[in-house]
Amino acid sequence: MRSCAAIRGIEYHLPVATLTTADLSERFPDWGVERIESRTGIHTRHIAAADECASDLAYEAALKLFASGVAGPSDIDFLILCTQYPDYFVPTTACTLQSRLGLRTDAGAMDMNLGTSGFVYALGLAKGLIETGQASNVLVLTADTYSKFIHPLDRSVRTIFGDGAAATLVSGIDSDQPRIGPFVYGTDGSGAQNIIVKGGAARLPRFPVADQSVAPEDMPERPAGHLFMDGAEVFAFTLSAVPALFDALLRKSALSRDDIDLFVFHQANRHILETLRKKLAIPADRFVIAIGESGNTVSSTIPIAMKHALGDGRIAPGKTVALLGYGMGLSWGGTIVRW
Amino acid sequence: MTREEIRVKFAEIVEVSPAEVADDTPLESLAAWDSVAMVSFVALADEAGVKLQPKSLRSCSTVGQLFDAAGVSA
Repeated sequence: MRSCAAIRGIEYHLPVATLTTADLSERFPDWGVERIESRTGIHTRHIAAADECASDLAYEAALKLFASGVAGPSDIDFLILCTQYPDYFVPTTACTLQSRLGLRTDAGAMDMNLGTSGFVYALGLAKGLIETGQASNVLVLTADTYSKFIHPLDRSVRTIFGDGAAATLVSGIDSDQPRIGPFVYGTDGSGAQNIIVKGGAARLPRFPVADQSVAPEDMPERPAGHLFMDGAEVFAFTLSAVPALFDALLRKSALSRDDIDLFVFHQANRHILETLRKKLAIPADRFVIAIGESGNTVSSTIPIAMKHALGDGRIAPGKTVALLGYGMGLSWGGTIVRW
Repeated sequence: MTREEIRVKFAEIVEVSPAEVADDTPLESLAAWDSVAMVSFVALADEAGVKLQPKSLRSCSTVGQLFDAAGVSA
């Protein structure tokens, strides 16, 4: 028996304001929003307020986790915040959250910047910290506010992304078998341009403010300050990277498809999920689709989907769950979680 | 997948009847040929066992060229 990292609790928080398919349809009758929803399965996206940052959503998710009783602020000895929209360049947003959440000053805190693969990577880091004796209770916060990057007239991303945050407690427990892992990772930076916000950081600090009355697809050049996604390229990447990730994860864990009770993939949109599910021959009842009410919340989609599955009993003690994240970077990762 | 099968499925994607889609139909004339449809077409080609490079689709101007790009012979 040794101390193994295990997930002990998940909560999530979505901002109050919503953007529904009906809202978009009314505002943009020529977008064919209903047709888009029939593909994506997304009817509601939550949108952070103008003065609400990713860290504020992460803070609320953490409070919910503490309120659930699995741990209190004084139990946490390491905080990992996964976000692509920090409060500042300097200091680290996780440090500000240590203080706001009332965590101990002998707790470690750090940000990590990854998108939709981020939750799997954060679990990998948390496991490393716990199983090498560096930490006992790691608070993993995933939070993003992509809506702030999105041009109001960009149909291709406005219909997909929503804001949100999740809080996951990873703790060391006595167990005779690993509860998280093995891990498979992957990266292909040659696809960086396929999902990108070019402006605002060091490579392109200054750029013209985009005309908010012209759709980005009708501009001579994509506006640098806004999120750009080449949907077809990303879809093609997903169709080749995820099956390889899936095979590698099964091989490394010495499990077969039938040994896994539930598959939780990054919730990009229903079309991608269903295409992958069929391609990988995963039965629908062992595959989570929980995207309708929150959209693509980037690094929080996997914990949000897991929370849904905990609620309906598909994740329960004794279950084996496969988690697969993939997207911007391009970056991907997968792991097995035993409940 | 045969040319005929892909024609029927493509018509579904662009929301017209199969009779309205021929090899020489300009893609421009199909109102629903957009980024959403392009994604569906990549999925359709994948189903047929073809890994499409989306870049290769952008140079297509007719339906026939699109089917050629997906490796479905005439």
